[in-house]
Amino acid sequence: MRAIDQIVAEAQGAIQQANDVPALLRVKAQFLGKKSQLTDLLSQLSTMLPAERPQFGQAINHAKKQLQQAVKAREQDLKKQHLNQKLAAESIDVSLPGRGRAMGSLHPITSVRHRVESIFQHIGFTVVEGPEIETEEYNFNALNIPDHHPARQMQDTFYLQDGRVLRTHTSPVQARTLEKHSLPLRIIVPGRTYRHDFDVTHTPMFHQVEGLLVDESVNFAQLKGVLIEFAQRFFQQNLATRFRPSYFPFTEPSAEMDIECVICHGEDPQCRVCKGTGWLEVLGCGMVHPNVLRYANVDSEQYTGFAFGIGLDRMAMLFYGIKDLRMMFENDIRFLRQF
Amino acid sequence: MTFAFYGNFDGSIAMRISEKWLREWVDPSLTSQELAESLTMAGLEIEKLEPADDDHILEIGLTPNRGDCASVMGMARELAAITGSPLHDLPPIDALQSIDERLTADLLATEKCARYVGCVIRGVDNTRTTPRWLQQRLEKSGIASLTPIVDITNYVMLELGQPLHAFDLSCLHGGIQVRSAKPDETLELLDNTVVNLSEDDLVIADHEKALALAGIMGGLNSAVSENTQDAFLESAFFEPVNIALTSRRHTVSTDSSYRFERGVDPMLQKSAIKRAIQLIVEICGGEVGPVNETLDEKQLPSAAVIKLRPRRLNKVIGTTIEPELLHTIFTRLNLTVDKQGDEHWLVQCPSYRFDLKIEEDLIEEAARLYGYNHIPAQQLSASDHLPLVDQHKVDHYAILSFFKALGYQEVITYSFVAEKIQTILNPQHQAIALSNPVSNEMAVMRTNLWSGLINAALHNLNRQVSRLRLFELGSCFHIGDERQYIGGLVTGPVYPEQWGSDRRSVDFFDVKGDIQQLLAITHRSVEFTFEKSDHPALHPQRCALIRCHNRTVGILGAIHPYAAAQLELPTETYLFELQLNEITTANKPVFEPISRFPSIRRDLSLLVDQHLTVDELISTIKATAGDLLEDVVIFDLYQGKGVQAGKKSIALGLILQDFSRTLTDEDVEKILTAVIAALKRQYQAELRI
Repeated sequence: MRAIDQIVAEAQGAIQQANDVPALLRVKAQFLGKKSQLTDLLSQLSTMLPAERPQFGQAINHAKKQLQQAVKAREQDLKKQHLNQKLAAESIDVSLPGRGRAMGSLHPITSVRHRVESIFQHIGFTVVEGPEIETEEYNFNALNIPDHHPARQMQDTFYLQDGRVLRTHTSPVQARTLEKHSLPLRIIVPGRTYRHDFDVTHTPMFHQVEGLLVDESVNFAQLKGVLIEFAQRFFQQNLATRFRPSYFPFTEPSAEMDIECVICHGEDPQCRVCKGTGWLEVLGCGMVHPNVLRYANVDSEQYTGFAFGIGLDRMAMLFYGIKDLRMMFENDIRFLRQF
Repeated sequence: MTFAFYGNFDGSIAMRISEKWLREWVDPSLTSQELAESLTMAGLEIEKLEPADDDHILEIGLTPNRGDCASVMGMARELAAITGSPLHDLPPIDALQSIDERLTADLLATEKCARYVGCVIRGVDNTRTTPRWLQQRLEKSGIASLTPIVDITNYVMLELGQPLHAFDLSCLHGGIQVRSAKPDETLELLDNTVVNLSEDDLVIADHEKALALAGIMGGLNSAVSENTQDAFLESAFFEPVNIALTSRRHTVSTDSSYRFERGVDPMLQKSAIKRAIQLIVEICGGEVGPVNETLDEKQLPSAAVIKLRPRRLNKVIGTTIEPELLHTIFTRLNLTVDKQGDEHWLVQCPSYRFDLKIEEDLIEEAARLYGYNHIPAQQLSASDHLPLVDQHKVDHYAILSFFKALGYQEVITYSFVAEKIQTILNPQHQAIALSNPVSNEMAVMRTNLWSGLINAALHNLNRQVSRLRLFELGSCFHIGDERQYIGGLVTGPVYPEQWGSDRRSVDFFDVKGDIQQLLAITHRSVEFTFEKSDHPALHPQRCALIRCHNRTVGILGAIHPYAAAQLELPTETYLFELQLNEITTANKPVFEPISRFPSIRRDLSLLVDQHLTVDELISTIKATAGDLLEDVVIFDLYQGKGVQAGKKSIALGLILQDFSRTLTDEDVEKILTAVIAALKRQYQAELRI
């Protein structure tokens, strides 16, 4: 028995000292192989008294098991060590930039348009589009703007040689949609619009979102409710708002909505954005003029509606803090990639 | 709408008046700021409150419907209505007449001028200096002081809103005729311009010739001067539409036409001329003839009587304004209410409120004076129907975001471009021209998106940027056709400069790859093919039409070196364009079972004619191999050393699979043999070992 203990002790030492797998295998062969001392001892069993045999046999088997486990454990250790060494050699600089393309960008007007659309879509408005080359009929007459109307004169309209115009607002889609679709109706109409005006604060092309809701019992108080909520959702701020009477040929009553200045919140008398007034004009709105409903064969006694128009370019400027309108259409990469 | 307050579309034009002058008419106990605020919140926007000595100048943005407010009196009436403060009218004017001389006026076009009031004043001294107080008031309104008589006519216009005109009596021959101009008649205006008149123009004439463009501007020859001793003063009502059209036709706009085209109170002419005479006599002296009125009452606009239903008023605004309050509001606005019961009122409008015509106009008046900000905001009820979420629709933003993810920058360029660039890019299409473009650079409507993309590219290339991936979504315009496209421009290295990839210029297949990925959004990529084609602006060998069911839906190619040189673009510039509506309809994917059995791959290396397209090759393989062919991949393409001239080597991987069993080598060999035989027969393809 002493001999077994001695062998085990010797073997344990050798296993721990094996520094790689081949050395370990050699140790394994030495202590557990056919020519090992333990195998020799086992073959001596027949020379022992039968009563002593089981105890001796068990001791040898136990020693073998012990050593096999030790070899296995050592083997795992060695493999782990080996892997760790290998991994250590595979070190990279994770701070190096990733490979491939760079992210592109969406134009700020597109992003803001999407934002406006999403807000209104959540309360049941559908996005509708219309042509940019428009007839005078839809651009003006259908919207209660007769030929001699002062509004029409002041609007610097682009004309084509065939007498059609580049739409001066997205409002013609109101009439086009009212003619085609059944009521009630909730639409928003985003798109490009054009005016013959080009200076620091005007570009001859700009973007609007028109809104129109026609139903029975639609009122001005609801128009206020929707637009106040819109402004607060859009800017994600609890902004003060106010409504001022205004004039548009296609709405009566008409209003303009001002929001609290998103830049200075009315606290900077020198603020360049609100010119120190604390208010920003952001949209025009009103109850749809009965003539507009009548033009589209809608009974203006049964139905009322409200409409509103938002200047997207200005909304984008306010939303992103863009100071110069003209940058919008220069398409300088240094500008575009910011959004 | 312009709605969107963009430019001046709401038609507002700034008018400037002195606050002190206004307060002589109505003096509410409000500070200047409060006064400005209350006008603004009632729809008369004070755009600027400008300090001026012991006074302020109010700059008012008048909406085009409120011509009645284009005077101190008009603003005062409004302020009185808003605040409830009393209005102090001018004291009554005593009899002024001292001589009995009059000039007859023949109204020959009463539909354009229904009331003409005139007065002869003799022996005036127009060399005197206009009193300082009067000059100052004119100056505060931005009107330069000239001679006293002209100053007085301007003063009365500012004060009461009635434009007046003074003639030098010695230049008038016979009586006045208010008539249509004769063809070929000309008139030299006060500003020295000569206008060629037409029968559509209304003129003030004597018995010989036209003297003034009625309601717009006087003529130079009959104008009062310092030397004028005898004057003839005119105060008339001109029909607004005619003035608007004439003013536009001759592009002459004056303080007078501004007021007449918005509408002057048709009852104002006599009191205004008396006010002017009073001031002239006071300042310049003179003997006054009778105030002589010529009138066609039938042609005068009559003030509206409007039916109003208080219940509807509250319904439209969303309020519960009591009838008593409503009555008060209307009374303040000088609207006379005749109650025909609670449900039905008849409202008589004053003569100066020609903007009030229908019930909605009165609803706005009530809402305006009640205060828009006192109307409670209401929640909108939910829509009765859930919105349609179309399972076949590809959202625009999905397409835009796709390009963004592929590294493209979205641009927005003007829809009108220079004709020159359009001709280079799309010579086969006639572009729609604007009649009144802003400039030559923005003269025609774009027929494709490339012109704008190229301009954007040039802007950046000129600023040390060499790698560009730009795209735009927008409409293009052909005669009788307007539709939306998505287009792009790619130039420079395929990747941004980096450590981990070789630098290589973008090529046709990089861009084609982007487009194919885009088409995959539709779940019907197989319906799209790329066919070699040509286009005047593209490289003749590197241009493909994108086709779908025999329709051309897009195009892709390298810019033609000739066009590149003309446009100063790098030759390795790729352009593409796709009709948006062709890719916004998607197939709804329907689940297909996945085979439980393993697939088998066999590679073929073929030597074929260099002009044989891969599309042809694969379609033959597919037709021959049948349903068991799961996929074909092309994993190598080679031309050059080791390959016979005029040939190319192409390596394909065929992936075969069955749904009901594992394919045997025998199955596979049979298919492969058939495929090779077909390729040999059709294309003389040789198998490479």
